[in-house]
This record gives sequence, C-alpha cells and structure tokens, in this order.
Amino acid sequence: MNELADLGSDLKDHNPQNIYAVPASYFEGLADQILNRIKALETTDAKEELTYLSPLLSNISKEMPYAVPAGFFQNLSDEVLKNISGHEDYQTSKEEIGSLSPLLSSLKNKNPYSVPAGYFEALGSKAEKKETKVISITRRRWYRLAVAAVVIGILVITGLLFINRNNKVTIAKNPGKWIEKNVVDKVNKDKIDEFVTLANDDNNEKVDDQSEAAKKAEIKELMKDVPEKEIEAFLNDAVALESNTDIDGSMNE
Amino acid sequence: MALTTLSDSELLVEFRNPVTKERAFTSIIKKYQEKLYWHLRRMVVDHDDANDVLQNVMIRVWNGLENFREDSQLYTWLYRVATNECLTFLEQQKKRASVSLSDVESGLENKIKADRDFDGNKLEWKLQLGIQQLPEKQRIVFQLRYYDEMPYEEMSRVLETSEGALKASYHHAVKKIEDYIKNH
Repeated sequence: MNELADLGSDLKDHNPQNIYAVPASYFEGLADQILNRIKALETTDAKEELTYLSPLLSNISKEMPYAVPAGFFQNLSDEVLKNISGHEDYQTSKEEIGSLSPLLSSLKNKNPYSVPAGYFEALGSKAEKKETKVISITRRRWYRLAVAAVVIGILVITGLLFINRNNKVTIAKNPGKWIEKNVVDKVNKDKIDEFVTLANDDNNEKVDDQSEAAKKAEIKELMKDVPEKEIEAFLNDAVALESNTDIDGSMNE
Repeated sequence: MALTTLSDSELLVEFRNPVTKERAFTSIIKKYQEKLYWHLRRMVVDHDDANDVLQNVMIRVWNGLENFREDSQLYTWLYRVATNECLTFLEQQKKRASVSLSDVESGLENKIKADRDFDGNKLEWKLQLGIQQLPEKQRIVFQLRYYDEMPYEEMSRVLETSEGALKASYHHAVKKIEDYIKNH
C-alpha cells in the first residue's frame, strides 16, 4: 500500500478482494484427490485405477442396460457370411475367370508344354556336382588401381569443367572482355592502327566538307543584299590587283 | 479339431487357407462378436445402428485379414477397425443431422432416453447419459478402459495415441462423468 502511495496510484484506495468463487470444500479434499490421482497413474490394473479415481463409478454395475434381440449372437456369423457372399463383387478366382471368359476358364488346367522325363530330379543333382571356379576380382591389384584411376580422372575432369564454366566469358556477362578476347586479340595491331588512322581521315574530310558547305552558306547569307554589279566590279578589281602583284613579285626576284 | 479352440495365430493360418477360410472366419466372428458389438453399441446406442456398423466391420475384416501383418494382437486390430468404422458412421450421422435440423431423434442422448427400458433414476442409465456428454474420442477411451479394461499400451495401438495422452483423457473423463451423475 505504501508502495502504491509512493507511485501515486489510485489503486491504493481499493481493498484487495477475490472476485472468483471456489467450489465448497474444494481445498479440504484437494490433497486426497491429488494423491489418489498419483496412485491411479502408477497402477496398471484398471479396477484399482478406477477405485482411486472414482469410488462412485467403481461401485456402479458394469452390466449394460441395453437390450439385445434374442438369438442375435447365434445368427450373427451366418448373417455376415451371407452378406459377404451375396455381395455383387464377391467371387472366388475360379468364378471370376468363369464369368469373364468361359473359354479361358476351360483352358486353365491344360498345359501345352512338355518337360523331358526325369528333368527335375536330375536338376538337383547337377547343381550339386557342378563345381564353379570362383575368381575373386577384388584380389587383383591391377583391377583396383584401374578403378581408382578412372574415378580420380572423372573427378578431375568434372572439376575442370566446373571451373571453366564459371570463368567462361560470355557476351551477355562481360561484353567488353568478350570483344577483347574474341575480336581484338585475333586482329593484328598494325591493322588496327591503320583502321584508326583511316577512320580519322575520313572523319576529317567529312569535317572539311561540312565546314566548306557551312562557309558557302554563310557567304550567301551575307551577300544576299549586295547587288550583282558591285560583286562583278569587286572581282575585276581583285583580278587586276593580283596581276600587278605578280609582276612586282617577279621583278623583285 | 474345432476351430473355436484355436489361438489367434492358428486361426489366421486357417483363414489364409482357401479350404478353411470360411470356417476360420466364422470362428473369429464367434470369438469376438460380443466384445466388438458392445464396443460399438456403447458408441452408437441403437441396436440397429450397432448391427449395421458391425456388419461393415466384419466385411472389412474379411477383405483385410489376408494382409494382417501380426505386428499387434488380432483383437487390437479388430478393435481398431471397429473404432474407425464407428467414427465414420457417427460422422455420417452428424452430416445427416445438419441437413435435417428438425430430426432431434438423431441425438444419442435422446436415443438413450428413448430406450424402452430407460429409467433415469437408475445409476447405470445415468452413467450412459454421462458417457454421452464426452467428446467422441474421449468416449472411446473411457469405454475401452472402463468396460474392456484394455491396457493403455494396447489402447495406444488401437487409437494411435500416446499412453500419456490416453491416461490423461481417461482421468478427465472419469471426473466429468462423476460430476454429471452427482448433478443429475
């Protein structure tokens, strides 16, 4: 209670009460009941067990109060056999083959094969006389060594195949390495260099062509507003200037 | 030699011989019919039902005895067949009862009370009513131990349950029935 007060709990104001009911005289009989239960568990005799568990039940007559029709047990076995033999599925093997095929049923005991006279009597004595040479294969050393070698060989090959399979480079797993292994390694380095150079030239030409075209387009755009006569006059002046430069040039040499 | 004096093993040998099969089977029925009948009757209450189930049991025995491995006693095997057949029958009864809800006569307790010799004041009738309060499997455990005094070891082979569980079940069953009788 002090603890509850220290905790500040409202429970400190409640009086502890047991709300559950216990059957009358439960505790008075509990020790005996448990002891009897233990004795019942330890015994193997059914009658003794019941006296420990329930003296009341052990005193009740075990005679069944139910009535049984007169003569029931005397006739039961005949009734059961009648039911079994009267069942539509009931047949002996003889009856079964007779119903399925009277022809086969009639042929059942007719054996067409003949056996030489005295065959079975002689068979037993032949088996006794014949001595079979026993060759032990386990004693041959070379045989055991061969088997061991084959087994080891199989294990080694299996291991190598397993390792190779794991290390195998596929185009899906590692495309760069696959190309390096299957393409690059197989081609001459000089050839590669040549290819790369050609590729660069092609690219440069393409670039020059492309820049030339771009320049022409630019000039056209710039000159679209300039009249044609002015362009002709400019070109004529340019030619004259060139020829003068050539004469000067040659005179200076 | 009369087959009724033969042991179970000898009867099995005779049963496996096509010439003496039917005679051996008749002897087996005569030897165990009452034990099996009462085992079933206590479970199903009604004589006609018990007879039906017993007939089914015997047909199963006829068909299955050839392959009986003799790893248990013959009567243990017979009880197991009878118990399984009985539980199947009760299961079918329950299904029929759920279909026809107005059929109150299907209750085993009502069947007991409907017996012409029923007397509710007599302890043996109260005992039967008390037994019917138990769940099916517990009822079987109680009856095998109480009426047939079957050892727990054999019972565990019949019911395929551990001996410990059977003991506990039986002890609880006794308590429940005793309480029922005291309160009714």
